[in-house]
Amino acid sequence: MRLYSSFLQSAVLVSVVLVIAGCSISYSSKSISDSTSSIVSSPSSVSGKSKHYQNEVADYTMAYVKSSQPNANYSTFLKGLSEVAAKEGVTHWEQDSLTYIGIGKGLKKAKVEGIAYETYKKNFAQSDDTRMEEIQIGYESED
Amino acid sequence: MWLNYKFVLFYIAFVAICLCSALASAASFEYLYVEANEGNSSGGHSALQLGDEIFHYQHHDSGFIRLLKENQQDFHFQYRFLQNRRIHSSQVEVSDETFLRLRDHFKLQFLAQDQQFKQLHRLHKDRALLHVLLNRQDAVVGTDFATILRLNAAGLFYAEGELDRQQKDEYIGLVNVKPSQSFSLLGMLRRKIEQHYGQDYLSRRSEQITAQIRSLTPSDWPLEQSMLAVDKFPPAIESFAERYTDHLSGLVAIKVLMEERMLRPDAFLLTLEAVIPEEKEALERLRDQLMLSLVKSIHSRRPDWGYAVLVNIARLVAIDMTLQLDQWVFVDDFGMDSEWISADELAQYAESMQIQIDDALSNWMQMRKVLLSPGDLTEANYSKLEMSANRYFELLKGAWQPAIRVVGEKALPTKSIAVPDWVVPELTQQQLTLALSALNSYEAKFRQELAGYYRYDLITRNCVTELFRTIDRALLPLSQADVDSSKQPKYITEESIRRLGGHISAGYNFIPFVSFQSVQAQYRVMNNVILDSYRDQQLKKQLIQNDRLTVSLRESNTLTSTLYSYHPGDAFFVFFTDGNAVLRPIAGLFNTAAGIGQSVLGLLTWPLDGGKNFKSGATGILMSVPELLFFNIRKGSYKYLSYNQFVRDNASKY
Repeated sequence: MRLYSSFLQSAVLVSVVLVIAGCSISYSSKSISDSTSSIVSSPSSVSGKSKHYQNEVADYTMAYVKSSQPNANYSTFLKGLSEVAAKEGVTHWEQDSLTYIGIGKGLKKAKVEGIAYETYKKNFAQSDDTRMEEIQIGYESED
Repeated sequence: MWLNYKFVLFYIAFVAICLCSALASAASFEYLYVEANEGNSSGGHSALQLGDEIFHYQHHDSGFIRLLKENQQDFHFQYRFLQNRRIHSSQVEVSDETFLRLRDHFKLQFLAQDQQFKQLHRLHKDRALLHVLLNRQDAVVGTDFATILRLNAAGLFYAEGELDRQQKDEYIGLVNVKPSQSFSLLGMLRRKIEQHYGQDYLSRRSEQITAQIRSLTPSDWPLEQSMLAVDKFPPAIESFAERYTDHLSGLVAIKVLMEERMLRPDAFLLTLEAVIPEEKEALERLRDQLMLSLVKSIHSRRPDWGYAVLVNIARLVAIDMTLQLDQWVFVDDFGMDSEWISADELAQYAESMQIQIDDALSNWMQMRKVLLSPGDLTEANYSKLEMSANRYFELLKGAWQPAIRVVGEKALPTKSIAVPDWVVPELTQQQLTLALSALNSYEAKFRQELAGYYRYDLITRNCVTELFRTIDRALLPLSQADVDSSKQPKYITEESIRRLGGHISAGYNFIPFVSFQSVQAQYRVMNNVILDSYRDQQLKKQLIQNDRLTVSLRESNTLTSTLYSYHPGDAFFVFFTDGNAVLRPIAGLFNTAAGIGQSVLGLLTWPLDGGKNFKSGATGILMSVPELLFFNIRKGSYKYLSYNQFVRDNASKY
């Protein structure tokens, strides 16, 4: 009887711990979906894919801008942009107008305006007129 | 007539008011409760779906709790299919503004945390470099410098250690290299670069980079009172080690061009698949585009231009080989951390692997068609084509190789080598010692702050509590963010009630299914849906198509089930207990006995399997005990399922 009672107490304890342990055991494991989802589920249209990339760039830009000053060191920003582009399989992001349109969207999402906006625009575009225009297009297109 | 007119006006006004109300609350998000199962998140899990992205927290091995952002299909495939768990989805009605606020905040927090942990990783690399420069490798006991500092994509052209074996002055010999006379592809590229930037451009660039490396100084790691916040990037500090490896990558890229170096044999995949004429035309255009891009990239000022040039030279060579041979050739894009599967395991999962091969073939054919679509000849699509080809042809190798890579393709090739010892920053011992000391102080403070925000705790900081805390932070009115923190809870509660219908306290809701009940009780839930697990779906199909009693009996246990096969990833069990609750304790008894049996067997096989069987048996007992008390946790899981089939079967939901 005493043995049964101990067993029951242990069973309850184990059950409670397991139930509470919502996410206590976690590991990083690769899955088939890691490599196939971008192929199987990606939007079939060019505009769908480019929109996803723009949004990723915009989100990253917004997050960066909210944490920094307009004249901050941009190397870390560029490294982060490379990482965002790399996930989409893109290396030539700096030659891609979608990147700058995304940056413009991100600046608008971060509610940057006035002199701060002009400074970011010039720095992100490295003073290239075409790039600055593309950033402006992205900025104006964002609600 | 006048009365009719008034009635019509009243009716129009009434409809307009209803429409406005509907528009004000036109959005929704889903609160997801994932049922329990053995292994990952054994007690269940919680997540928030905002649009087509799902945010959830997970406890990592590092001891921290991390916010993850996943594509909804990936999340569902992982949890509902592979882990075989039902998901309970509650649709919560919110205004458009609230939805955007939640979504933007979760994205911001995800990105901020991601950057914070990336900086921690960079600090680790900086430390490794400083130690090597100080010639104190013994101080990094257990850490292999060669595994920490790598040159990505350089491994496509050079073997591990090959660059070290070269004389250090060999690469400097580039200064006096004659203009290229070669008509090889890389010779042509080199000539284009020289025409564009000058005859000795590559030599000058090489000298410039060398000088930059020599004059590199360690990063400035300023100690501030508070470095981190959950919704801000960490201080923008350029990593010393990354500046060094970026410069070295540039030197290697120039070296590849100067030597007109070919891809290593293990760096590319030669298929026997013929290229059709339309594909050849597309590839010729792509090759020309790549050449133009490379001419620009070599002159880029972005920090990682060297890596980009290496990847694109490799792809240029692969595309050119494809055109020369009329057979598809691709750069190997499997990462160094790819998951391997042995021939024995392949044989064990022969049927599942054939489905994987069929899926891979379908994806590979699909991407070939995409490349031919007007406007779709993009770098991103070529990357997907490369990934799909790598996957398909690697799986085919399973027929004759002892082991293959089953998962691990990357969107960009990264085959790496350890940093060669050509040239190092010229720093004195004193400078290095001071830098290491500053780094130590910075890293200690950094880790302390990280732990303060993200140290996992079973009850006070887990995947459920952090979800609600993030919701609270998202809803905190901007005007109140700087207010006395003691007043913030009141504002948060008010906002939560106004926007979501109620407030759920993280402190009292740390158990997944309890939090799910709270969501039902507190939030403005419009709709509840139970999304079937993989086994649920298949079982329902069988019950419709066959005799119910036969199916129920056959599928009740792992010995006769056609829907589940035991695999070592699960602890062995006899009966499924997620169905009939009344018989659960009886089934649990058998399962507990099975777990004990596996543990005893495990003791005998310990010398052969390192305790794997024993551990599995012990887990089996642990999972079976709750069943004796009518709780169900374990449901069995699947190692290999068809992702394509999952997308097809669930297309209407996405």
